[in-house]
Amino acid sequence: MKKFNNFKKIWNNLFIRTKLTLSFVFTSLILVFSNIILYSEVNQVTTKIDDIYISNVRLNDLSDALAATYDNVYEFLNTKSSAALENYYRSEQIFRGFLEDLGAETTDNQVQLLEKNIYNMSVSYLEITDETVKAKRGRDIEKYKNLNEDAASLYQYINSYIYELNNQQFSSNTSNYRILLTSLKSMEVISIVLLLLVCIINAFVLGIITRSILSPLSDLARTANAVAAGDMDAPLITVTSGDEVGIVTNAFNQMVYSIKTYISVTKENMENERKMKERELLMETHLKDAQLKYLQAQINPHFLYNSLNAGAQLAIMEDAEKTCLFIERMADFFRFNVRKLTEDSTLSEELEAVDNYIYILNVRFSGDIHFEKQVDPSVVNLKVPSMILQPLVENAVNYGIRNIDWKGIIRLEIEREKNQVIVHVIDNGKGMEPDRIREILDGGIGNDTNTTDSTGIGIHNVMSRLSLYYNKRELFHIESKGINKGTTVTIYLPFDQEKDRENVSDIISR
Amino acid sequence: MRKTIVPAIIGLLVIMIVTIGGWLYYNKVINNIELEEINETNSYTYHYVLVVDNTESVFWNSIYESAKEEAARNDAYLEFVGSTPASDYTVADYLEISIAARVDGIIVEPNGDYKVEKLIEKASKNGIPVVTVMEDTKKSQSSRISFVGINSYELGQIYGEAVCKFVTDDTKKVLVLLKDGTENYGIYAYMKAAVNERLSGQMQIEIQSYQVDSKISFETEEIIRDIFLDTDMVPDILVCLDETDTECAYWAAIDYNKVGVVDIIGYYPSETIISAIEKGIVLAAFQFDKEKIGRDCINALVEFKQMGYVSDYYSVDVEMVTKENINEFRESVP
Repeated sequence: MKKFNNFKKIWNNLFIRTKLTLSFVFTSLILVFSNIILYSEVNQVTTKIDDIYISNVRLNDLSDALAATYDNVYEFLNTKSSAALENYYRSEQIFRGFLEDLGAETTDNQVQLLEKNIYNMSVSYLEITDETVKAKRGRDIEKYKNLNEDAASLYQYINSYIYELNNQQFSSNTSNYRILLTSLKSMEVISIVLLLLVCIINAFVLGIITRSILSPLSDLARTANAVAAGDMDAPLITVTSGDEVGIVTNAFNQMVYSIKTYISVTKENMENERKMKERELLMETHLKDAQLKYLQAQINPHFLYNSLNAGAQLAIMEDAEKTCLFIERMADFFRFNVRKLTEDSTLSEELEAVDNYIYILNVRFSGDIHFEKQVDPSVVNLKVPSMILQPLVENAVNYGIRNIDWKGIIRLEIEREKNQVIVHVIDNGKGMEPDRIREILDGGIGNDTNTTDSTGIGIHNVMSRLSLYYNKRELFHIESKGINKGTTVTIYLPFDQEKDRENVSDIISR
Repeated sequence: MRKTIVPAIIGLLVIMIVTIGGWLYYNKVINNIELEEINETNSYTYHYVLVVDNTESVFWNSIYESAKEEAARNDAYLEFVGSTPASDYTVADYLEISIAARVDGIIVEPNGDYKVEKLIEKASKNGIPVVTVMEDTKKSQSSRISFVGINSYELGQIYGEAVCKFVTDDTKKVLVLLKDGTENYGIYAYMKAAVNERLSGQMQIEIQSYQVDSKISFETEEIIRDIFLDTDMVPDILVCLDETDTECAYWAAIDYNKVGVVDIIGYYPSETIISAIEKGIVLAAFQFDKEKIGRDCINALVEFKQMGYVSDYYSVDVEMVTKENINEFRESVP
């Protein structure tokens, strides 16, 4: 079984060309082999027929040699020529040569007995002819005449015996030949059956091999059609052979796999892009919203801060330095607002805006607002979405420490912790209930920008922009220990998302 | 894969079986051709020849069969040659052939031919022992080693006895058919003497002989028919000293309506003669112990080879077959 599997493995890994050649060679070998056997049998028959009739042929040769000997003796007796004598000796040798083929054994087989008789008679005959020749040379006329008569009658006897033997051999040969002929007929039937069998087996083997070659191909075609019809989930074909079809199947499988991967990557990319676009749109909406709100509140900031600048110059001319400073700060604040809404700012710029805002408020409210800040100097250059700190501080002023009986303090802390920058805006004002905190975080409250004192950007806007900017939630946190216990608003700015921020700012700036 | 491999292997096996089966069958047939020749052949050391005048005669064939068996027992093969209707060769020719063929022994029935006598001498000169059977050489100093058969005297006595047995008061004439140049004349003479001796003075019976020339084909039959046609010659008892003569006489008696007129005393009881005896047309025939003749011929040759000499004469037992003992005879002869 193991060997069979090995064979199967080797066979499967052959190229189609080799497979076809091998199967052709295999079937041809079977044909050749069976033909060799048939031919060898036919050959055997031919040899046998030769063997059967060779005895007759030999006898004819013997008869001819005897006749030649007889003629040459006669010739010599007639002419006494040395040529005839020479011929006699030569023909005698030939005759003796043929005699050697005859059996000289006594048996009850008529043919063999005849052979023996012919042999002995021939030997006797040759003795007589020898004597005749000697007598002729010795010119013993009487003797050689008598001897020649004896030889002549013996010659007749031998000839008639040869004739008899020939007949007997021919008849027994003919019966053998008949047997052989019958066997040849059956041989013919066997041969035809054999050839038919070989043909059937060959056709069968070729059929098997062709099917084994073509069935993976039709599998491949079927799957290819399914894939072409859009069924990317069509099962992959198992590759069992290492031939050309196997290679093509492998390549096809790989192609289907690659197409699938490519499609999923493309899908993912498209999904990402769609999300990004959505974010971008939202961001834009919020910015627009913020901008609109701001513009609604500040009809014409450019005109306002240009006017403020003119006011500042007027104050310097009148030596009212404090007024000048106040007006300058206000101008800076509004300029920042106008400029920065469309682009990213840095934390330091944000801090400056907060400072300006507090200064303005302190001038307005005669220093009622106590503002403290503690900033990690290493993070002041961090890029952040604009207008995120000032609204928080504004919130703390408006909803925290306004109208309280105690000294209101607002504290801004910026610190770095691992991969993020944490900004706390802490006030010791009115504080709030947890329900209200939840409402604010859910976006129900905190978006009210219609307050006359507001710069126009609500806390919810800040929250939304942060999560859009960083593509993250949970960046905003509000904490309060209850009524009159102050509020802490915390935002977490991711530190390592420089690239993301750039992307976003690019999109925004576009 | 398995489903396809199994039928393929079975197919290959079938091919192999058919091929091998065909091959074996074929070889068997071919080998049988040779075996047939070899199986039927036995080899022998010696080669004897039985030369007779007529190889188709039942009598000689019976002798040949027994002699052949005896020869085989003595490691010899006995060849049976002689004139056949198809061959022109005579006993003399076959003797000459046998001498040239250097056989180890010759058994011959001399037919009185001078050439045969000479060839018997030649054979002896060439070291081939010759046994004569049924007929002996004419020459008293023949070099044949032995004679197996019945001599003229005995045969004459037996025939005489038979004639005496069948003579009636009406019997006037007995005619004896003689082959020319053979020993038959002696038989005739002894027979005549025997008849005369037994019937001395009681009856006047005329005993005549008639020469039948056996040299010319179909002559015997014509001569015998002539006898039946010639009213002067028609005997009361016709004595035949030969198998062929007996049969010819039998058919002539029937054809010329001489049944009951001419009584025939035959020679050897062949199938035809036996039925003739049953019908009463042939009165008697003489049965020789053929097996013993055959055995004696071979034994003479074997003994001569072993001892260098052999008994000059082997006697043959003769039994007269008549209507009375024909059934016994039939039983004894298969």
